[in-house]
Amino acid sequence: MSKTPTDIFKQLQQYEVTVPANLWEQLRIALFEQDEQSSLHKLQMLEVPPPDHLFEQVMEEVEDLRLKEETSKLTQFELAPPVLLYDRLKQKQQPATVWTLFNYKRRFFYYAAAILLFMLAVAIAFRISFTKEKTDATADAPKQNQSVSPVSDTATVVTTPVQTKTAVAANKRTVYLNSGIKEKFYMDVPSVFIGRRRVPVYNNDLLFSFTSMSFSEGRSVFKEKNKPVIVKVDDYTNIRVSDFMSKQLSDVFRTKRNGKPAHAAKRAKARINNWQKADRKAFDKSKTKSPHDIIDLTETIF
Amino acid sequence: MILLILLKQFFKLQRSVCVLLFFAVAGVCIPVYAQESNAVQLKGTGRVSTLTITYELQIASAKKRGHAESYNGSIKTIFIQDGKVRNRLVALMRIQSLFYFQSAIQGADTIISVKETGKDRIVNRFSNTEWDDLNRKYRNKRLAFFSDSILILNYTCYRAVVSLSDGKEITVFYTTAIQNEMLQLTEPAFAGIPGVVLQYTYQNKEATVVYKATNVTTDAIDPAVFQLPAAK
Repeated sequence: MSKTPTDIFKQLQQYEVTVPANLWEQLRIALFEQDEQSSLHKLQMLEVPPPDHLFEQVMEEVEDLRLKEETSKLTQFELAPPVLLYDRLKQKQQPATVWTLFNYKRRFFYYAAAILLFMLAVAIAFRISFTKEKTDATADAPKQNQSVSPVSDTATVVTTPVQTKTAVAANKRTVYLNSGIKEKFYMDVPSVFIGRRRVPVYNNDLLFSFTSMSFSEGRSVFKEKNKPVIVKVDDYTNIRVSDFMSKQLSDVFRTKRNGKPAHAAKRAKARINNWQKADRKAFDKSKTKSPHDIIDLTETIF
Repeated sequence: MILLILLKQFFKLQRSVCVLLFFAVAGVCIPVYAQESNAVQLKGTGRVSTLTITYELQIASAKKRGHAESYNGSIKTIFIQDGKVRNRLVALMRIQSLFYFQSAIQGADTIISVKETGKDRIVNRFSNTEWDDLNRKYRNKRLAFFSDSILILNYTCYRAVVSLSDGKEITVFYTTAIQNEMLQLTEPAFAGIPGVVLQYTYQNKEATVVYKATNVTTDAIDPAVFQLPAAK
């Protein structure tokens, strides 16, 4: 009967010899330590350590190689980006700005200049609108520095025929409407001085101009009791406002605690308006009275 | 120069300070002297062709009335030059001028009243007839002269009373040192007064109204003062 290899190996197993435990240690010593002149030991003395970071470099190379290999595989799956994407990226791209102190200063001055220009424009706009209002209010007040050629009144009067009473009445008053008088009329009063304060005058009407002042200005001008108010009109004319009138004018600027005009102020202004109406009625339309005449004036005002 | 040397020696002052002091003193003294000289000159002048009188209106009344008080303290200025007169009343209530231009032809004077106050300027042109009609109350006036006098602006002013036919009276104080007949043309109440009136008073039951001269000068007047607004 022939024996199989398996049978043979099973029979050999009976003849197995156990290796002693210290056999490998003895072999090591015999090979590497007992004999210092051995070839292996000589080679060990010539051992050279590798440079620093070599291991990391090698690993990087290996990793790069590995990445390249992996990415090279990805090129098979490459996709082209949309055409518009590149253009949008280009548009969004901005150069980096390095902010220095100089940049901040320059911007500050630009902003400050813009604000100042804006304020100047607003001031000019206000000034123009105020001047326009004043021009409208004094629309036909005679303007300064314009000469007027005198009328040859004598010749006119001489050639006038003998007038009947009706004709006299018709010619007696010639009313020049505001739009008709544009020439300079000497000693027009554009403003007066009360103390050091300059007060604008509208239509040569002092009373109207004083009652039209702002509340703060009016109170400061007419507030002081027992102190006469002197109105300097021009080099020839300084009017001394009586205490009674000064009190009336100060009443025009009385206010409540909330700053609104008091009822007394409204009454005072209405009273002054009534006086003006009475004066106009007495002298403007009168054919026989003149405010220049002392008797006419006294009999009218009393 | 002598004054400078004296100042320098006495006060041991620097030259520049002395010069300043000199001009400061001169600056004060010269106008005062000139003013007095002017007054002296007017006193001895008599008739003058150029004259400016400024009157202040004073109203005294027991009962205060607003309309009247608006004229209290007002100023009337009369400009007279070369046959032309402008009588300008400046009051809180109104500013009004009366122009009187004397004509070489009798009865052809130019008389115009202009109300300067207000949006609508009112110009009244008077013929001589109309002017006489406006001042008819002074037609039959009587003048009484008195010897008592007062001093106004260093002028001795004599009293006179103008009595009207209706019983009204105006008391005037006039000076004979100044003569100008043009004043009487614009103020018919003064016709016949032998001088320039520097104060006049009218009194009724309720008030006393006084016009008192505060300034008299014979300085030349700007011709533009007498310019009239051109007709429409």
